[in-house]
Amino acid sequence: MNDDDLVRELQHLPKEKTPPERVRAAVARELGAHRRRSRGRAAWRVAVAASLLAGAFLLGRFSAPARAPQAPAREFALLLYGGASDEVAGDRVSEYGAWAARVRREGRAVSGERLDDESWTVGGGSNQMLQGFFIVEARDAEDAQALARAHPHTKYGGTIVIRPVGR
Amino acid sequence: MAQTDTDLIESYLRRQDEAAFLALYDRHAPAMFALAHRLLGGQSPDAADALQDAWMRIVTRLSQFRGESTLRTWLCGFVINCCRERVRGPIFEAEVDRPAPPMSDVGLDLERALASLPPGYRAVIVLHDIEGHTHREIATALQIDEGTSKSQLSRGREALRRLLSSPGPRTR
Repeated sequence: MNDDDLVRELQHLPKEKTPPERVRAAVARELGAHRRRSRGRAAWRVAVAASLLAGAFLLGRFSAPARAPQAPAREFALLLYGGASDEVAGDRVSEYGAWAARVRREGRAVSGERLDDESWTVGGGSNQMLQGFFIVEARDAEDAQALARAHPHTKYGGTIVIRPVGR
Repeated sequence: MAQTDTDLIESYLRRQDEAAFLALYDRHAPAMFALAHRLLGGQSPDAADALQDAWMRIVTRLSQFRGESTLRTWLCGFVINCCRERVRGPIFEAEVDRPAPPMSDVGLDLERALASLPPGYRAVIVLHDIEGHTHREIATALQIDEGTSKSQLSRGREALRRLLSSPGPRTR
């Protein structure tokens, strides 16, 4: 049998095979879970934005903090790893937003985003999924760590990595 | 009239129409399962798991489809990756020194012969001769170089011919 005959026979093999129903059921469940995660992410952003707006309203303005930290302030990134669950419960979203509001009321600039599940990696991989981040104003690394310790993310099994933002 | 893949993708991404996503599944999963089944040597439970893993990823990554290939080709890329991850050892790497399986005294039909091949030969034959991919596409998908893909194909076909030409009754 030469190559052409062999290839012809191979191309006559069936191109489709019915998968087990359990796969379709799993895909349907994952669609629902993805939908709930997406709503949780949207709620997180709204909660952070609302807490910042509420803080700004209470302070009476929308830009610079009412009371700056006593020492010259720096910016630190609080990187929230792990601690994910299938659903971002309403209470948890409120807690994260409330933390941001408290930080804002202390007179610090703070902003944050929840990250989507999609990710791309260049170079070495990482085991932990980055869930989101905050950029906060703090006096120094110790001050930033104190802020991070007060954040509820670790209560849900997550890790917070603190990194100074480049000057 | 059946909706096109593009219509279904748009319906899911813009309107969160989960029925549209499942329609894509129903349309493409049988071909993806056949591919997984062959890549994994006819092991249906493993192939079903690989298919499921592939679709779990597709749920979150469908928005990344840019139309540079057909949707079927793009989706099958996930299957190939999931199959590659499932198989232990360097089985998708060069197997130039690995001997072909011993000849049986009972002829094998083509599917069983294919399933009997070493995984590296089988992957290239499935992707090139059945699925119609080029050596460049195979090299990218299996993370080998084109030269390896060509030599695997040549050796794989030789091994397959030996299995098919074994004496004994043949069934198809």
